[in-house]
Amino acid sequence: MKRPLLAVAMLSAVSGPAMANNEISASLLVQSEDHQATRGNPLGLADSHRFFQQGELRWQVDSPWDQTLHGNLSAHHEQDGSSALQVNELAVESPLAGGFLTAGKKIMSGDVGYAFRPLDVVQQEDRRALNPSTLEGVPMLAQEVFDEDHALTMVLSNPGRGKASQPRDDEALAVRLYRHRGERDEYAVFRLSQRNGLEAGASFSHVLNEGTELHGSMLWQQKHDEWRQQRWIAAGRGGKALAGFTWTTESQFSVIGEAWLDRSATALQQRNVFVRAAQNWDTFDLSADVLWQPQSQSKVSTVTASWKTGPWLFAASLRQYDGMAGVLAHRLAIATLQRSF
Amino acid sequence: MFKFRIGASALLISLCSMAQASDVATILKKADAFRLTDSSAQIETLVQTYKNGEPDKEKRYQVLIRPGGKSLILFRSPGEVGQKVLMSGDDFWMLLPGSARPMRITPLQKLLGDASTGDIATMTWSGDYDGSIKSESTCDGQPCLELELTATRKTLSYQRVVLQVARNDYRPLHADLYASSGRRLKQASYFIEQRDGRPTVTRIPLRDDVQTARETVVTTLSSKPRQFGDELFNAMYLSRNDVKL
Repeated sequence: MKRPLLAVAMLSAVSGPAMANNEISASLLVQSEDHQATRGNPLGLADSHRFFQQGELRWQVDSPWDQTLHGNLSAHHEQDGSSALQVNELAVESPLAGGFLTAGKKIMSGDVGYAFRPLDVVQQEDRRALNPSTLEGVPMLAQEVFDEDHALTMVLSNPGRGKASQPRDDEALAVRLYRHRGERDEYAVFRLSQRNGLEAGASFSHVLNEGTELHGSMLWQQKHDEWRQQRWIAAGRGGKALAGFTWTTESQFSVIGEAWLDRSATALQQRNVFVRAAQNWDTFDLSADVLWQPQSQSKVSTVTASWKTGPWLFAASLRQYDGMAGVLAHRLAIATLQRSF
Repeated sequence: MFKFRIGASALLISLCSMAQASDVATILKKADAFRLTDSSAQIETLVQTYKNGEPDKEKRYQVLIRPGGKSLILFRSPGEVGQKVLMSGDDFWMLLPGSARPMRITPLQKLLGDASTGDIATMTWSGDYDGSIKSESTCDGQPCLELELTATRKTLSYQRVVLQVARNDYRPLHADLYASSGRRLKQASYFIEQRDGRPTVTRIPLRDDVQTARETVVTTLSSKPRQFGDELFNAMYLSRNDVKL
């Protein structure tokens, strides 16, 4: 799709008459990225620049019979002329047998961590992405049951696909339990798949006082694959564990601290420590974070500033890679301008 | 005899303070009735922000409330559609647009950004605040009572409220909202007009004492009684889209 067509299509879609109980929203985004390669890197990578535009359309249409059709479509146009259109979500949601059914392609992720989420077993949201883009949902059939303080979710994801080339495309059956107990939320997850066998995990988020929250998460895997030499290799039993906190002050300063162990990562990237500090001044946000991997002495540092006024958002980020994490790339700078409708 | 007099005086003081506490509870219930006319309702809210007296931004929220201190705020402005804040007594969650992951947040995280304004839209005094009548005076040319109120729970956004109500029918007139540190955060005024045949607070201008150049006006566009299912106020339901209104 050509650029002007993309913009016109998005704008004409959102400027139509509003539907009674239905929702439609859209956004247009331009982004510039500058990648600075590490001098003398083993692959001989050079500095590079990327510029692209992206449009996104979300809608929700209610039928008279209680069903809701929910969709999310994005169109992407690169500076080199290439374009792509992607259906991120297209799902029917409906009350069924005392619960709620979802059939179609939908984003479904969970867990309590900020930078790492062991229980994100159906789909992983982008973590620490400089510009988190909308995920592509997973084809699924899900049934959810709720009361005031409990929820039970059963998900059959990627039905009929068995073990796919990437874990996100694997066929799996997952069950998630949720319980709200006052100041604490508790979760339990069970998942069955060809790649990982049985996986079982639990997590919690506990509000300690008006500004402090503690969280923890742990997943046990009967078997797991490791990403080595550009492919997934079977590696026996696995596990992931996370502990963290958030702390917010009255003056809108906040700190997130997390430490985790990820047995599915390569040997030198299994232990991680992450700290993020942020300050909010009404429409302006400034944040800085560091991810440290002690085994490889890798350090990834990021500074982000964003300004949001009405439907406009401007964000600029600078990320620096040191130690083993900086073998190929040294710095990444991103600037984004987004308009929502 | 002397002991009897002391005992009688203590009993009298105790009865007086109980009577005043009961008066305050009644006053707060009546003051609340001017703001939230139905215990379970769907409220359309417009929030306009001014900087140095000039219009700065305008946002719309749909607020669903239910007895038991439960409320769900649905953000309706461009760039925020899909954002939701769930409040259940002392417990809070947030869902960001584009995310499928409801996040548990602390009371102070709830105050970040515009969610705190939605909080004011659903704030009630009776049940959440205790206090006493501090003084009687004249407010905006009418006799009024000044109430000194303290939050009954530590998680409430405003730990101290100085509330002025009309002496004749206890309609709210002004409120000073304080944080737990004792710092005054906001000053609210309450404007009342007839809606559906009864006097209702329809506009609340809020002067910000932290960002002093800023003023926010919360306008209730409409309010209608509605009944909602339990699932709507479950944090895990936030990521579903089939909220039936």
